[in-house]
Amino acid sequence: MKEHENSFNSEAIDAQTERWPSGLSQDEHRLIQALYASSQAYARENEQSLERIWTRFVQSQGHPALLQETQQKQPASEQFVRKGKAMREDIYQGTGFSTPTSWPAPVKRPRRAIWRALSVVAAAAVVLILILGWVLLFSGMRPSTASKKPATQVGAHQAQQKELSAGALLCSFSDNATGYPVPIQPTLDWSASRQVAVTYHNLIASAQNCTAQSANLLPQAQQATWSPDGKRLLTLASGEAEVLDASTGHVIATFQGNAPGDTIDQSVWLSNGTIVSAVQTTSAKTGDLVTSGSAGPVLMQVWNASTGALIRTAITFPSGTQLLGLNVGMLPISPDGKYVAVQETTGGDVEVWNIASGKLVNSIPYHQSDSGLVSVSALAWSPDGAYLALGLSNVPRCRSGRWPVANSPQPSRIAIPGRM
Amino acid sequence: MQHKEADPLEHALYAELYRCYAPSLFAYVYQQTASREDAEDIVLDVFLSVLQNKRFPTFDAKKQEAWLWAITRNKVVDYYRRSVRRQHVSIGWLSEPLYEDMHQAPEQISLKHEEYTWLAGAIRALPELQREVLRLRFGHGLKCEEIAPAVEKSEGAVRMILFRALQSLRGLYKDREKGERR
Repeated sequence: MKEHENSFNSEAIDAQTERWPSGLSQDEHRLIQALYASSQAYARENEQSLERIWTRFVQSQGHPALLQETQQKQPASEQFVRKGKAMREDIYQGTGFSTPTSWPAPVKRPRRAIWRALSVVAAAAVVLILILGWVLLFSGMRPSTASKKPATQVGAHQAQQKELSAGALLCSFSDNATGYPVPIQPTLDWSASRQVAVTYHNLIASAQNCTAQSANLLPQAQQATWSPDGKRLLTLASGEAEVLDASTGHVIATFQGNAPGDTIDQSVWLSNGTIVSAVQTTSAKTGDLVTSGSAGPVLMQVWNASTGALIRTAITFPSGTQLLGLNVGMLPISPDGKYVAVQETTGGDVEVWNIASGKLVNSIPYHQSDSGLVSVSALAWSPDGAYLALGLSNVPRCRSGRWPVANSPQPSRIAIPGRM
Repeated sequence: MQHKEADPLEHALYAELYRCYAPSLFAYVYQQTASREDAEDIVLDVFLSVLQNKRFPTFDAKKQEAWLWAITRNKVVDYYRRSVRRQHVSIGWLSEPLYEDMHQAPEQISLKHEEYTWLAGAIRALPELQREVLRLRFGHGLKCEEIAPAVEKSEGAVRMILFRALQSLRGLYKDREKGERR
């Protein structure tokens, strides 16, 4: 058999020196195998070193003091090495953390999670005490107020009306007993008649005459949006949606989904008569053999704003589908209620669906295996719903072509076909 | 409402960063320090510096890579300042292979042992830079573009160095086989 001459090629040298190269002559192939075999023990030690470094890195993330100590300059090499040895012993023996068999495997950080949870609880307790003290103080100073009565005039909220001029304060309202001792963010929504619905403090404030009424919104409401005609309010809280008469505060309709455990997420007025809601179901409803209460399919459901009755289920997304933006406090449904943005299960394509037709209209093929990890860090619909701006934690492939590596949010835009 | 913690993504990003750059950084530092433990400490220090640099996630991939290499080189220089030793990794990265197939005949094992001993000698005769590139390619599994910053050469230069090293070894193999036939 005639052997190839000079089949090594500098341009293709990476491929030709892979573990099992192709296109090489027999002796070249034998040489490559011999080089790998001779390096085997050394390569294995290197892999173990990388595993050890990664383990220590992950442990250091969970131990700020250790991190700080590690960053301090050491006067001598011996101390530097000794510190590393001691740190390894602390990590392996003190925490019982063993060297992983492959690196870098996802490692949970329970201690960090516990500290974080304790911090949140402590912060919540402080806020609770402050708010309770504040509420008690004001309730003692003021005559009793009909806090839960619907839409009554609240004279105490009236603030001085200032002359309307550029940059001048027009009105200012403070809360009374309707405040809830829960550290949630208030939301504001303007009506066509220049009224503002305020959640958390549960007010309807008028910019026309600088008056405010207490509104009978759901406790801890996360959303209160005016109907197109400005006569009703759609309130969202605790997994259910309510429609209120804005003038009387009476509940007109309640929507809780089709089954116990359904959670009503973002909801948008389609017209004065209908509302579309994103509904997160539980797997128990679908009859899956999955632990009861785990996330089931996500539904886009249209319901009657006067009766709360379900009109139709427009789209059913499979279990695990993420409504885009909810995790960062943004809205997956366009303001006109026509489109919804979702991300496929486990970080797949970013998709825009037409709610009315139930059809996919556009997608960005962001797969973990192709383009790296993608997470939506910001989201905003244009007012007419024609454009969707996405802030993505985009992770381009590293230059070696092995793995993705960066976390630089890069705004992208999806143009909705037919609406440009 | 659905809530997703940022931690898993952050963790995954560090993991990808580590997978991407740690092998070449470690190979470089190990070569410079000749101490596995010191190299591990220095590379860990580099990645802890990433944690402390709040602006790092805003860098693009190219700048991240440049930053990592700059920090690594600085830490190696610091290491030199603190250390009286200064030596590079020797040819010791080549060793007798592990015979996982214990069913091989003793004659085969003996022949292979002879071949690897001969190969180690042939590599020892190569220029230092060619030996170094072979070590990084076969001992650390790095590709040419990953080897380039570790030896401070261009990727094209690394390809050529690796090509020449293999050509030399291939020629020596042929000469050896001819000698055996005589």
